[in-house]
Amino acid sequence: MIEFIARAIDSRLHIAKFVREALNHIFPDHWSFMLGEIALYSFVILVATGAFLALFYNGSSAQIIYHGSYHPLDGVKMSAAYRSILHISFDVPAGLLMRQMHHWAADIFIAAIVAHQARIFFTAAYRRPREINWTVGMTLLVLALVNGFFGYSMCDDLLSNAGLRIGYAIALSIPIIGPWLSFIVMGGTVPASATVPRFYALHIFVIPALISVFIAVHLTIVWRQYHTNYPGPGRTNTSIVGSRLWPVYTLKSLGLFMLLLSLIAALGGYVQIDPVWIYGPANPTAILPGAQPDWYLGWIEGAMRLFPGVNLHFGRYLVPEVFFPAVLFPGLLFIALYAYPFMEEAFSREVRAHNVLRLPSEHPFNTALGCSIFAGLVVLQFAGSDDVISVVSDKSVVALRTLLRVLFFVVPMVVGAVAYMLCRAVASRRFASHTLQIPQASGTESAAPQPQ
Amino acid sequence: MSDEEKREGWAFIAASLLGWWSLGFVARWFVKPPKGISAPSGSAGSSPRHLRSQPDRDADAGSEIADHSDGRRYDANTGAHFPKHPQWGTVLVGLSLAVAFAGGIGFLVAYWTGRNNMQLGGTLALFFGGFGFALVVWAHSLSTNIEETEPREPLAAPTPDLGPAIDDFRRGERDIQRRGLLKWSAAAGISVFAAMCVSTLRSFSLSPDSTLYSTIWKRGQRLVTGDGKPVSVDALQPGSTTIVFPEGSIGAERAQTVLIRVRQDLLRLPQKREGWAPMGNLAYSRVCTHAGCTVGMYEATTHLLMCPCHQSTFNVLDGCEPTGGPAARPLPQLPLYVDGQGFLRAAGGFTEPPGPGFWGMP
Repeated sequence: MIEFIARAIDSRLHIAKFVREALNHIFPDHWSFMLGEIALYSFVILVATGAFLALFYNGSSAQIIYHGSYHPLDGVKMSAAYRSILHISFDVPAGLLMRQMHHWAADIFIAAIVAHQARIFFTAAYRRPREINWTVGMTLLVLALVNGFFGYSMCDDLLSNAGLRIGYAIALSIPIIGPWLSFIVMGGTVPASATVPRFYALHIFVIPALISVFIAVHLTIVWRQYHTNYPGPGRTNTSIVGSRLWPVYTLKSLGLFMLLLSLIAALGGYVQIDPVWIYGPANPTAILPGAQPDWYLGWIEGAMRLFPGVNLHFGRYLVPEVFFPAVLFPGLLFIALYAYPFMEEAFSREVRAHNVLRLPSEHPFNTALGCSIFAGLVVLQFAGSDDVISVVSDKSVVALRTLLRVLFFVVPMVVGAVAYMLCRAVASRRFASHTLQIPQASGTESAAPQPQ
Repeated sequence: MSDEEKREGWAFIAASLLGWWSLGFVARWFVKPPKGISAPSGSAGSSPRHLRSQPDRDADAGSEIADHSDGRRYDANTGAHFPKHPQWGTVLVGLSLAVAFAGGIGFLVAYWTGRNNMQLGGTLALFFGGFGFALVVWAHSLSTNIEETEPREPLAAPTPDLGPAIDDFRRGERDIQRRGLLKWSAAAGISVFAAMCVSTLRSFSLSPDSTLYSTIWKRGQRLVTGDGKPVSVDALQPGSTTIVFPEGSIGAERAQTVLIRVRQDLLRLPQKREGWAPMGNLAYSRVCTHAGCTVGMYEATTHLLMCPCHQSTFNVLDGCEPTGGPAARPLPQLPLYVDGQGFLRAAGGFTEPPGPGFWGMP
């Protein structure tokens, strides 16, 4: 059967050579290489559950009075979009499961991308010849963040409505183009009746199409350049060590996909996420106290809370306070991350190609910098929930904020310094024990010295 | 979802993770992955990858099957490692697939009977978990696990094809450049197309100016509550608040105004706002000047309005100047007067356009 089909296809396309190469393509095996796969498979799950949801979702902000099966909201005025979310959650068979799986998959998608980029950063996999793919990965991260925001705003509930208004204020704050930009994207001052339909089109079509294209580019480049290898015996710049795509790697990878699906199904079934019926419908004159964004925007929220109330006036023009923490700071951070491989290449004058990874301890500065950035983002993440921390810890928000402002500068420095020293310690220890490991490196494992 | 149900959910997830992990641990015990041993690169790396076949444990010709000291079998020529206890792998894969099958049946039953979300999610998790575990065990214990070394291009320098490729491009480019007029008209066409694209963005919005600069209220408009009732000058007790709108625009986001009554002797409004607060009735925009949330909280003892989003506070006594938090600009104030019937009316628009700041905000 296979032979018949293969013969039929190959006689028309002459692709047997390519297929054979593909089957024998070598992929190295390391747990940290699964992070990108998790991101990829999360995207597949997002598309599948998203298609299900799109068939029930109604992207309209037309105001209606609810008379559905969720009685606590009976007679409440809401948008048709919000009603369709209630319909999916309470009436559509398996609708709630699909919705919760979709939201969980989105959170895991972005977490996996962040972890993947961190792995690339700390092992210096972004070095020549892989700088292009690093920028593709950064672009995928940006697209994922944006689409996550569009996605939960589409529910048109009271919680996401606060996020939508803040998002509008952020877009509006950009000098010169801000007013036009925010009006073009959102259709007017929020809540505009055009906002939800536009986010719907952007969320289910425009951004996913871009993500698909960039994933295709990403994978093509990985295919062309092969994976990197961790340093070890037989791993050089001109070799690739690993197992073939067929069958071992295929089985493992599909197994990972299934296990991820299983995890997301369990989360979707058992762990409630974004229960919009508790928040209530969006209402321009109401607000939900203790509102937090989804985790991946918490650092921007935290920066907005910590930044002092400072405007800049240029004659009759204004740069509002929101611009600095919510546009300038993330913008500069992302530009720096985009440019990092090129800057490192320029500063180190290192132009060789690298197909073997650099261990974090081999480059203390890089590792310390990465750890500092992460530590700063973690402080901001906490700052993004400082009102909740204030309630839990019984400290005033003002005191907490002063503390967090100090921590934002101190913690990254301390973490960076500690990381730097640890790297040096590990590197010197490895150097000291290096001579003992030479026999192992030659591939004869029985020659390793045995402790008596 | 009740607390008990939540606890149950977490317990299920913890148990599943523990189950998978321990199964994986058991599987790894039977099947050790080939760590640190790579194929002899001399024989493996000599011919191009796509021209070599995979080692086949059933075909003896040309391969030398040997035993490691730990009992693993491997092919000395290719470095292929064969599973140590394939029979246990078979048992595990079989069991996992049985779990998947049971989970699938469970999902069908759950779907066609009660459609309980937890049962649906749990059985779906069992289905995919069983399948995934079976595939992973299969890969580790039933397949020939080979770690191979192959040559690859380091991708460090341009290829010899680059020169001719550039030459070909230049030849074509010269061909185009020879026709200068054509080149410039093409450039003009592209510029016009870019302008067309940018202009089309105009379809997505009216000019922001008319909306952003509007101060909403007109002199003489009555203040009405959410249910449309006008507000008399003594409707509020000192220390209490209500939400008001311009008559005819109830519920409008940018028009929402908080009316607060304070004791008149406490007022510290600027000179030019003298008389804007008849009998201590103060009116301010409810849209936060920081990020546009609704300034929804009022603390009567400190006379502070607070925005629950980023905790900016505004002192209502002195014109809602920000006293804390990230806001930099005061909440716009609405001047009030009392009409002949004792109802509150706007004496003009807000002092500034309400809402978050923007380039060109007065």
